[in-house]
Amino acid sequence: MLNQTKFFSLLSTIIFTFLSFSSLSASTSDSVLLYTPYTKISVSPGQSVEYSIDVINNSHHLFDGELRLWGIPRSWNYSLKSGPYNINRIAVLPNDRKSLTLNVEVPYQVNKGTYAFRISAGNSVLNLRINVTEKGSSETEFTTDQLNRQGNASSTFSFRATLKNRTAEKQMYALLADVPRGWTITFKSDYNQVTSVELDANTTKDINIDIKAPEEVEAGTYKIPIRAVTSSTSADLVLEVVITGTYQMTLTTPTGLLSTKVNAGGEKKIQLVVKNTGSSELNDIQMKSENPSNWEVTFQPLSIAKLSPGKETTVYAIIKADKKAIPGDYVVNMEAKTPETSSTISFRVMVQTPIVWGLIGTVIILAAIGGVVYLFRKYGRR
Amino acid sequence: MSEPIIELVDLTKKYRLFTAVDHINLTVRKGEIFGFLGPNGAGKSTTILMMLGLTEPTEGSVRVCGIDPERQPLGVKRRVGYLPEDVGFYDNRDGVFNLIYTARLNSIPEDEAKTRALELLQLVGLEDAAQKNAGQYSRGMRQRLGLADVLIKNPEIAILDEPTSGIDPQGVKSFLNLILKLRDEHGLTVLFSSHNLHQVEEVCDRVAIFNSGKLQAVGDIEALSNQVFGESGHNLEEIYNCFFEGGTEQ
Amino acid sequence: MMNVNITAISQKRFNNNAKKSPYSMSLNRNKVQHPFWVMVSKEISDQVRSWRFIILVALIALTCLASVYTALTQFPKSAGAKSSEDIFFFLKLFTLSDGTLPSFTVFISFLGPLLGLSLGFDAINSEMNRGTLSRILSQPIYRDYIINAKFLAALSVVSFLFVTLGLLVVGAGLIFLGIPPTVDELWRVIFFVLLSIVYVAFWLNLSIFFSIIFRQSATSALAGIAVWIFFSIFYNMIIQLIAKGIAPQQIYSEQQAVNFQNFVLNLMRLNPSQLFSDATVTLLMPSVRSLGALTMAQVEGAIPTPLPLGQSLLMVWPQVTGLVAGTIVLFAISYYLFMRREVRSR
Repeated sequence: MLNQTKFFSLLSTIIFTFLSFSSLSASTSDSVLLYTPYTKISVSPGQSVEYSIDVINNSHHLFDGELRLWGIPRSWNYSLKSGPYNINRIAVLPNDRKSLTLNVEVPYQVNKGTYAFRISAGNSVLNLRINVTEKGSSETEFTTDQLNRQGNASSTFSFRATLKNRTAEKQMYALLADVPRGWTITFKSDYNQVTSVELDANTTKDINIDIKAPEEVEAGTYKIPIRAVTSSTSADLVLEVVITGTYQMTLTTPTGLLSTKVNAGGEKKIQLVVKNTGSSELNDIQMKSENPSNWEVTFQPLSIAKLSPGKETTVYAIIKADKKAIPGDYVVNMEAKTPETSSTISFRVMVQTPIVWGLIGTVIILAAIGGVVYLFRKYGRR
Repeated sequence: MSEPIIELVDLTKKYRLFTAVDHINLTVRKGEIFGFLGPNGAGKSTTILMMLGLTEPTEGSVRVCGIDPERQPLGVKRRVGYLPEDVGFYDNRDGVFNLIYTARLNSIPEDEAKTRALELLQLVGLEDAAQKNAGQYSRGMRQRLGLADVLIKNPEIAILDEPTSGIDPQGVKSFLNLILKLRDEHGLTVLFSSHNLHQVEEVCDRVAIFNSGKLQAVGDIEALSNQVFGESGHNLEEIYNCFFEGGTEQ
Repeated sequence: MMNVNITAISQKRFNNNAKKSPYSMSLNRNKVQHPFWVMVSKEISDQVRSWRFIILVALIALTCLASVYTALTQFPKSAGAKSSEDIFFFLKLFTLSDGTLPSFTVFISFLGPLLGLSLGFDAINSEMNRGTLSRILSQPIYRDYIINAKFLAALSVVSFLFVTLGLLVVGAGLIFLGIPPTVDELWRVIFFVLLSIVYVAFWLNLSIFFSIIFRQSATSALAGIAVWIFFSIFYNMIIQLIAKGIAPQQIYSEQQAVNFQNFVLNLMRLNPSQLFSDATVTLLMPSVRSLGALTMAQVEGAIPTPLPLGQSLLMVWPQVTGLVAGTIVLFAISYYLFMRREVRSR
């Protein structure tokens, strides 16, 4: 304890000595000195700086002088106090010192830079500098590290934003968004869906924003303005959603009927409809089929060069059944395909025996009956 | 008596190797009882079958009641009753059924057929055997049933092929009487084929003698006698024997 | 004894029906029935009264109903397995067997010929032997009435029998299964019955044919039974032997194997009972899509669905054609022989 006290007294002696010199240099001949240890302080906007300033009277006279501050920006608040009182003038006994407290509030809205101001008591002047390390902001901040998201129409665009209440009071923010019709937007805070959040003064909160575009939305860039509003303050954030086109198509028949009949060895022309149900243009649609062996499926045309969204085109498929196919159902799969998407239909093809054989059989039977009729004619009337 | 009812012109039937009937010319008049005489295989039955249209002639023509049996067999069959040699019946059916069946084949209504069948059974003396199965009939009863069978269709001509075989002499006598009666009362023409010369002589107005498919002679007994012996008075047996040197067939 | 009194015999000529169409049947009792139908009804009554018919009908009815009974007892066991065939639940009555007793269709294919033979083996020769032929022929009827009436009478008896059997099975099915058959099933049953009638008609015509060429009924019956036994027992054995003999030493391709199989099958099909069973299997089991051997290529892509009735019919059309044409040809030959036959008395 003793040692510590000793050390401090020593330290204070050294500092004192040093400061005395500097103060001396600042106020050349005067014997009244203004002293504070930290003359350049770095702060961020909204912080307040509290200086403890000593007024030291080295003369043998009583000092009584006006206290003045110069150079503090007008929008800044400050106060000079000793104890509970605001001080304008100070008197110090010879070889005595008095402490003052200078409180400077750096507002939120402040430019980055060094602000110099002076305090004077009588002829003594103390130069102080406050370095505002960043640009000051409004009272509420709504920010996100990534403003832009890209995806197709069916994806969900998730943003993470930070809401900062830089006001001195607790705030209740309503979260608003201006989305085009058909879009949905949800705000989440702490995994709960919210429409408003409450922030204590000088706190921040993470807000998750999910945006969903309607399926049929056209490709393009969409700006989504988001606002956090209270009665007194508000903050804006403009999110950007880039919708890439969707690739979808359907392959059907005009009637929706997915079965047909064909004679063994015979051909059947089937009308198919390829429809672009996505939002992007489809290029180079290839028609393919998967059919039983010895069957042939040819398409007319074999490929579609270009199909705009919402448009449809007709393709004919010519199914040629195997000569030796047995009667009954077979499955033929047909596919319309682009690198981006594809659509498949299973076509049920019922193979029929050519009626020709039935006719030949009937002809044979008729010939036999004809023979009997001939016999009846020839011999019947006996 | 003068109206021809059966006319055979150059009637010939050839089988592959032999000629069964060889150019026969014959006329049977309405109301006649005409006898066919000749040994077995002489061509009598074949001639009869051709008259009925059951066999086609190779050559020549047949007219029965003015109808060609080859062209219109039904017209002939409707008018002609035929009693085949050794006639058969449906053995598992009784006599009445067999008669009614024949009647109905002749388009006689069922009720009428039944009455007629019973009448005819009485006529031929089979009323007691009416309900018996035909299979139980004796030969003679069958022949008598056969006669009823011929009569039930009410024919214009009755062709009887060996009708008296198997019938006792008493039965034969009434059988022949019945034939005569039918001819006299209804103008029935009867073709009577037999090799029983006595029976033929007894009832037939005229006879035709067949041998090996050829018609040897036609005419009444007197004419034949004149033809063969140059004088009348010979009986049929003598005439017949002239054609078949050797014994007669009894 | 013979009281000659035939005045009772009315002398009026009977109105003949020559103007009417020759086969028109007059059902009115007061009117005169056409001689042809008189003959047909007489033949039907002959058939129905005969002991051999009664015995055979009893045999067929009992065996068939027994097989339907076993099919019914099999139903609870087979009902569990659900497959495409189950849509055709009802048809199983005809095809299901528990292994001890053959199915309904097998009985028909085995006993049907016997029925046909028994109905016709003495059709013509008995008339000749009894001496009734020439007597009947001298009545105002055409000669072919006899063979036509005999055939038609036997055919109607068979038809009646099979329709009755079919109705019995359907009725039993309705009672014990409680499920009505679908329209498709009903049609299949109808076609099956028709086919059975044609099949029996084939054997009927064969026996009528024998009854014309053989004078003795016993010979004719024996000839018919010989053919029946040959086809139902020996024919398949002979084909097996032939198949073994001509089988290729080495099978090089699937196609070759299939071709050989189908060749042997086609030899089998010279047997009318094979034609019949082919046709019944296809008609009563709609899932049957082919009656021959198949290559893999033919099966690929095929899905196991039942065939529609029309396709089933088209598939068995060759078999049906064979049976029907065979029946008609046999009839035509019999008819020709009968019409050319010399009519002689006994």
